[in-house]
Amino acid sequence: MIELHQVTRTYRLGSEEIRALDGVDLAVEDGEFVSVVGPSGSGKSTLLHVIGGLDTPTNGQVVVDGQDLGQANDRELALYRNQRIGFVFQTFNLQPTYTAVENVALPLVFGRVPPRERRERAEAALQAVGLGSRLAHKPSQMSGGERQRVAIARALVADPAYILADEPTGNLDTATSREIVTLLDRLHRERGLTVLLVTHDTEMAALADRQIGLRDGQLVV
Amino acid sequence: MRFADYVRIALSNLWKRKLRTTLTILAVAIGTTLLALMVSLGVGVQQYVTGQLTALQLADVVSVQPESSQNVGAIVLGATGFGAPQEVQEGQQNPYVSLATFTSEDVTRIASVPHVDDVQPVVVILPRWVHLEGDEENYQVQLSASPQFEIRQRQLAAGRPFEPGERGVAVVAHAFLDTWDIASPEEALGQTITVRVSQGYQVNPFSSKEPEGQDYSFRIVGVFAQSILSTEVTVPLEDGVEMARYFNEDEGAYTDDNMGFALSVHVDDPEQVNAVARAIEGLGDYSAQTPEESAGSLAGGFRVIQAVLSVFGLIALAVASVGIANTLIMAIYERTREIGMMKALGASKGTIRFLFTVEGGWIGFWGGVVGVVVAWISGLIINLVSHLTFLRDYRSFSISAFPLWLVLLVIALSTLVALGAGLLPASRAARLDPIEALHYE
Repeated sequence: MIELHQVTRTYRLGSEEIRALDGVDLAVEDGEFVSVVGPSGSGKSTLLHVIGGLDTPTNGQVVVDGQDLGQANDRELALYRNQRIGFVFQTFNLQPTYTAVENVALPLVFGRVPPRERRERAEAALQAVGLGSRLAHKPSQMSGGERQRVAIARALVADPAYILADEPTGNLDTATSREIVTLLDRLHRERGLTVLLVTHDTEMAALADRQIGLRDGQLVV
Repeated sequence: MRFADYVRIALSNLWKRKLRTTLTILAVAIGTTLLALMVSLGVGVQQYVTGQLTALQLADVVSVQPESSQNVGAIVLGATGFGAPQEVQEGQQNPYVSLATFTSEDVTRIASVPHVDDVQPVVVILPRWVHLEGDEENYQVQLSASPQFEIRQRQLAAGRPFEPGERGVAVVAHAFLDTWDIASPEEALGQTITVRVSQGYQVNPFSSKEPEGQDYSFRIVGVFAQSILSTEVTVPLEDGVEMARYFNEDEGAYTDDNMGFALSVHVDDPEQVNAVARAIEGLGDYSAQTPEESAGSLAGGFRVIQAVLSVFGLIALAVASVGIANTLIMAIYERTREIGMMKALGASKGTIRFLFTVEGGWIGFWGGVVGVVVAWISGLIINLVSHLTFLRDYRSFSISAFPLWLVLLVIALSTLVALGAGLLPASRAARLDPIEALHYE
């Protein structure tokens, strides 16, 4: 489970101090599908980053499955991101020169998985998101929806407990957006994954089990 | 990340920017080509010369010189007008060069050293020319007067060395055959040559008068195998002494009081040359050199030349390493988002740092490989051209030589330099904030 205790994250932008997160207390149970909504600049992405170990809070504690991320060093955080977290980004962040399989297998490369097993697991992950027929395609040969599925397969491939999706539908049309969120929901149900979905689209947010709102770095219910 | 994955991913990252990577590799290759070629030329010449010298210098002969009591550097400075003026001794023939000489007493002392079985003077004569009977022209010649124990051991293409006590015979260098239009070494045997000796060292540039001289005739009994000594004519020591007395206008040359500037000492057991050389030096005012020491001091000289030439290659390599750093820093800007993404997927700072370092190493590796290949091909061309032109008679001599250690050394060095050049860019890449990197446009 994910626990946030009085998490504050401030940035300095010139002489101005920006509070991206301002005393957030939050608990997410295992197997929950939570959507985080709020206007842009409300701290949604920062929330995902501190939970995912990409960013460290200025104050407060982030504890995931009993591990206090504030106490972890760079290597432990890298391992944590690799094994327990699957990130999905708005802009997909795929390697343009890699095929779908190679893109999906990348987390396993960092996890020191042998090549043959990497390939098998990457193919299985692509099957799971319905791209079993597009294994050798490069991102440029795929539609936006397909690219985001590749990114989701990449988030799944290391069998993490948590999927952190940051505006995954931001670059997609409504029908495709619905497909992607439905896919996340299905993976959450079938695999018992804990999903945090950041979006400013209330229609997509409504598909989650629970919605939390953020405004100026503070939770609004 | 596994090491094999670092190597593979680094290579594929470089390959994405083919032109830029190729140009950077080219810059490294210029340095390594220069370095490899220079060292290879040095190695080739050194191998040949030391090989020749070890063949010419006999394993059981120690050469002895008086330990010069005068400071050569001071003489040179004085002679050139710098430094303190040097005293000129009464009767000193050349006031600017002073060489101590041996006496028969020295010879006796040296001959008494255990394992020494013969001591002979090294006779120096500078003849005007050598002439083959029936031929039109006169040619330059390097005349040696050889004691029995030396000529016996020399490699011959045809004929025989001279016998003990034999006079008026000569063994000539192989290169004279071409000069004299003699088809085979065997045909040279039995022909007669004349050596003209004039008195003293003829160095007056204002005179065009043919100086007077005395002619000495020799029957060719042998032809040396091909070597770098291409104008050598060797005659028995006794003939040499006679010529030297005329040359020096001194009937006393190579007698009791004046046994010359150097002695050739024959050792009865080649294993003992070092011991004998040290024992001779132990007698007092002598400096003795074994064949190995002579070859070694020559090799030292070649190492200096090699080092100087290699410096140019090293400078080029240093310049190229700045190019490598630049290429990698460019790559960081281009791949900022990718670096952020890799961190999100579980790459640690160490992973990113090592990946970029390996990319630098790859550039250096390929630069080294390309450089060695280009240098090797250039070396082959140089060898080929030289064998067709100025080294026609020395096909066995390759100016450029590529021993395996040279190939490995150059590739290893350029990889190492490139790894070093990659360190700074790599730690910059590792320090990138993943969140900023992910939003970098």
